[in-house]
Amino acid sequence: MVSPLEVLSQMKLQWHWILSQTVAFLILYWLLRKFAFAPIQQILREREERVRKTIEDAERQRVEMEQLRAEYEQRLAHIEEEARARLQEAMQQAYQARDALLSEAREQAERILQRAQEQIALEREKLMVELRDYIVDMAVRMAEKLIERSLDRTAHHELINDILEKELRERTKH
Amino acid sequence: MTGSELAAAAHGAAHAAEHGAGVHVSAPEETWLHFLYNLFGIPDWLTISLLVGLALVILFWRMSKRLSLYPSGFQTLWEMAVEFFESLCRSAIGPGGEKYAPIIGSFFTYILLLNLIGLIPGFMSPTAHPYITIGLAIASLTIVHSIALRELGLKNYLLHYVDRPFPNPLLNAAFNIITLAPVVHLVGEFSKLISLSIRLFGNIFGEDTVIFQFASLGMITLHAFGLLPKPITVPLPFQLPVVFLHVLVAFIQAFVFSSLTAVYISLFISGHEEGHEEEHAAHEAAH
Repeated sequence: MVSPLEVLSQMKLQWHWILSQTVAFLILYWLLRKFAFAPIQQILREREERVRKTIEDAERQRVEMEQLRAEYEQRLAHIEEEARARLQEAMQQAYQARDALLSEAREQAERILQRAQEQIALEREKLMVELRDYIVDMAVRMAEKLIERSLDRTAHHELINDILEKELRERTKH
Repeated sequence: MTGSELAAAAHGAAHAAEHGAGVHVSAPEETWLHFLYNLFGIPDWLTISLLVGLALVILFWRMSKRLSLYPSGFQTLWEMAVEFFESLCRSAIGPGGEKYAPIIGSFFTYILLLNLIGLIPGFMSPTAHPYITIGLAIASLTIVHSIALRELGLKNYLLHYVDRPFPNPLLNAAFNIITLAPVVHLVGEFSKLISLSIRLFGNIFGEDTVIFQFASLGMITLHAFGLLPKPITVPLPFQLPVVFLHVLVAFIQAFVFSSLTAVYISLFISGHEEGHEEEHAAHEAAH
């Protein structure tokens, strides 16, 4: 078995080949840095920056939206409250108007009733006066008849009945 | 396994038959690009490593032309990789370590491809050659030390090579002279070079050799059991399980090399004590 160290020691090192490889690599490194690494690293940083910025923007917009939403919700709640208050006010007004109308109507009805009662009372009074007049008149006429003919008891009764019947018939005819 | 490797394997098998089992067989160094060696004297492993580097540059240059904030296709994959390198650097170096991701990522990507390209028939893993891994380790340490110099300044950088256990500067100087602490530190730095390069080289070379041996074994078996009238070079894929192992090792070794580079950076940049613990932990993880 030949060890690598033995191989090395047996070789006469030709330094120009070794150094040519060194120089070749250094040139390769310079070129790779220029073409393979610098632009890619720049792009990676750029993309990182862009992603960071996008995420930050999104976060900021989210916060803004949240604020707006809270504001709108507040405003909406306020509007609802206002609407309810206004509705209540309107209802109160309506109740008041209804109450006023009702009381007015009741008053009017009472007035009408009172007038009617008064009229009825008046009519009754009038009727009573008329009745009294009539009774007096009838009594007078009965007295006249009594005086005209002095009759026996049966004739008396018949007469009164006659007169009453006649009078009543006349009355009912009216 | 390709034609040339098969030929080499057959040759090796014949060689083994002639000279017994003790013959030295290693992964082939001849690939489809060997004509360049014949023409210009450029070794195959260097050609392949340069071609891989060129392919990477073209790939990423094309990607950089059509980058988009909304990634698709290869860009998605590469972004994931870059994020992985960044998190690796953060965990090894601490907060702000992302700026070293290009170094770590370049090492990882390049070494991974160098490790894997040996699986393509007709190629070899350049990291199975010590020159490549030594070269890469030198590049790694060059970058580490230049970062240390830039971040710490010359004075603090040099202070890393001395120990200061006492509050008195004179006592410290005497301590450093007696114990030769700077020399120990220098040797330590050099050992980083050895450990980086030998670990990578040893693992990939070993894997390649094992694959080569298993591939050869497939052909030898056919001959030895006399299943055919004549030994022919139709291989059984004995090396297949090892190929999966090779893929695994390719990822692990690329990761170890690059994360050790990150740890070496953090050794200089963050404090000494933490650094040693991290290095220890990383070495534990590597083995």
